[in-house]
Amino acid sequence: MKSAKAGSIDVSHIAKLAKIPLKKGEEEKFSGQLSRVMEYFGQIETLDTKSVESRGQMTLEENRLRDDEVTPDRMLTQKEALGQAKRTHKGFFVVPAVLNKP
Amino acid sequence: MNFEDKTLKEILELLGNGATSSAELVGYLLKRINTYNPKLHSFISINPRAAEEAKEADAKRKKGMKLPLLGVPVGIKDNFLTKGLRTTSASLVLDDYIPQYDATVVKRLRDAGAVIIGKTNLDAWGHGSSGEHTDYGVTRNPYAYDRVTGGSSSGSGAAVAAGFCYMGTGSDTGGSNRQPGSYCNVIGLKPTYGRTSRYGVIAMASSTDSIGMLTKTVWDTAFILSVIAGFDPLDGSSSRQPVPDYAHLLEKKEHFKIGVPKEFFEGLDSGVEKATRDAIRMLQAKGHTIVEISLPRVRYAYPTYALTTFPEISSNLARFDGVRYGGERSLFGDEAKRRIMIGTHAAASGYRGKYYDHAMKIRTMLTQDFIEALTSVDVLVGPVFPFPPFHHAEREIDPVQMYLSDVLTVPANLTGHPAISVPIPFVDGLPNGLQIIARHFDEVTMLRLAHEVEEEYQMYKIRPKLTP
Repeated sequence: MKSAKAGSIDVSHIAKLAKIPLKKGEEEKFSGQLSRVMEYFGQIETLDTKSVESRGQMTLEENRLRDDEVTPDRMLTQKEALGQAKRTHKGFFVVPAVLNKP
Repeated sequence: MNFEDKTLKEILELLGNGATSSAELVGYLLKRINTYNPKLHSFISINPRAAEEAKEADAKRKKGMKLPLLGVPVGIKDNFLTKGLRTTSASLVLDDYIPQYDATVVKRLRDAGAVIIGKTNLDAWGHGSSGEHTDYGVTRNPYAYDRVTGGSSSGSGAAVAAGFCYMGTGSDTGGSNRQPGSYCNVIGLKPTYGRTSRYGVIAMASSTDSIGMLTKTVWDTAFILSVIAGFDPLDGSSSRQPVPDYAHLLEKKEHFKIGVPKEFFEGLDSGVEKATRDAIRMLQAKGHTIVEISLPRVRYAYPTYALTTFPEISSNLARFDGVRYGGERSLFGDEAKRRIMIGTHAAASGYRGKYYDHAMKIRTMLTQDFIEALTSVDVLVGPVFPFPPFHHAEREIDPVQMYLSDVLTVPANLTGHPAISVPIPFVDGLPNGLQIIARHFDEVTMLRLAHEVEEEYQMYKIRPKLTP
C-alpha cells in the first residue's frame, strides 16, 4: 500500500485487480474522488456490530436451487451461443492469452 | 383521439370495446415518439417490429383471445434482456448486444399480449439517480427540459410521463423506480425483494435488485404487478408467496397506522418538507393515525448501501469481458469505473472486515429496525428525494453530492421492503413524490394508501407540455 491515510485508495492497484484500464490522468482524478467518497463512507466505523450476525437475506425467505435438469427451451444452439462474440474460431470463443504474461 | 393523456386502464377499455386498435395506437405513439424523443432521450431503441406486433395483437383479439395486456404498448428499460432486440444497459460496452433470450418479466409481459414499443434510457447499468450517466443522450424531464428526470429508470419515467407508452419497466436497486417516479410525476414501484423475478435483468446488486415499473396511476401499477409477479424457478431468490389481484384489492378502504420516521426529514429542502407534511396531514384528516417514530440508524443507510452493493456491482460487472458478447472494459463510463473500484476496494483483503463485513452487519441491524417499526405501524411515509428536480450537471461534479440524492430511497433496498413513490403537489412548480414503505410482501396496504393519495390529488391529470 502506498499510503495508510484514512479513506485513501490505491487506485492503480485496485484498477489492476478490477481489470479497469485507466486513461492518462484518470488515476489522479479517481484517487481524489474515491478518497473523498471513502472518507464519507468511513462514518460507519463508529457503529458497534460485535454482537450482530451477518445476514444475506432480509425477507427471511431462502435461496433455492433449481433442479439439475436440462431445460430444452432455454438451450442455445452453438451458433446462437457464439452469435454475439467479436472473435470466434471453428466454433470456439477466442479469448485473450493469459498464460506466459508478466 | 388524444392517446397520450390516457391511463393504462382507459386504454384497456378503448382496446376492449373496439374504439381503437393496437395498430392505430402504436402508429400514433410511434409518430409522437419520432417528434419528441430526439430532445427527450427517453428511448434508446425503438422496436422495429412494434407496428407488426400491434397488428398481430389485433388479429388475436379478433379471434376472441383474451389477454390482460393485449395490444398495450409498453417500454422496457434497456437493462432488461429482450430477445432479438438490442439491449445496451445505456453503456457502449453493450452497444451492439442482441440478447438470445427474454428476461422473465419481459416474457410475462409478452405472454400477456403487451407490445414492446422500445427500450428506455437509464443511468448506465442502473448507476445513478439523475439519468445523466448514459452513453445515449441525457434524458430530459418532460416537465422541465433543463432538469433531471431522476434515475436510474430515467427513460421509463420520462416516456410514461410524455405519453409514449402506458408502462415502463424498471429495476430499483437503490431507488431507481421511485426517484424518476417522483421527478416525472408518475408512479414508481419497488416491490418486495423476491416478489418479481430478476432473471434476465442485467444484474447490478443481486441482493437488492427489485424489479418493478413506472405508470401514470396506482391502478395501472397494481394491474401490471399481478401480471409480472410470482415465482420463477430461474431466480434463486424468487418468492413462492401467492400473488393477489392487486388492482381488485385497491378499492377497499381501511384506516392505517402511518409511521413518520423523523430522520427522513433531516436536512430536507423546505418546499419538499412542506409538501410531504401537507400530504401526511391530508391522510390524517382522512382518518389515518399518524405516529412519529425514530429510526436512528437510517443515517448510516447510504454508506451501508454502498459498501454492501458496490462489491456486488464489481462482481456482477466482472462478467463483461468482451469475449462472449459486448465490447472491452475500457468502454465503461466513469460512474461504473468508480463503483467497480470502490467495490473492489471494500471487499479486498485487508479492507473487507472494516468495510463489507461490517456494513453487512449494519444492514442486518437496519433491517431489524425496520421490521420492528413495521410491527407497531402499518406503513412508513416520507419524501423520495431530499430536494426538487435539479438542473443537469448540477450535482455531477462531486460523487458524494450525487450519492446524497439516494439517502431516502436506499433503506428499503437494504431491508427488502416494498416501497412506492406517488405524486403529491408540485414544489416550486416541479413534480414531487411521497414515499410509502410497507411490510415485506404487503404491497396491498402500500398500494391502497398510494391510491388514496392519488384520489385526493389526482396529479396524473397535470400533463407536461412537450416541445419538438
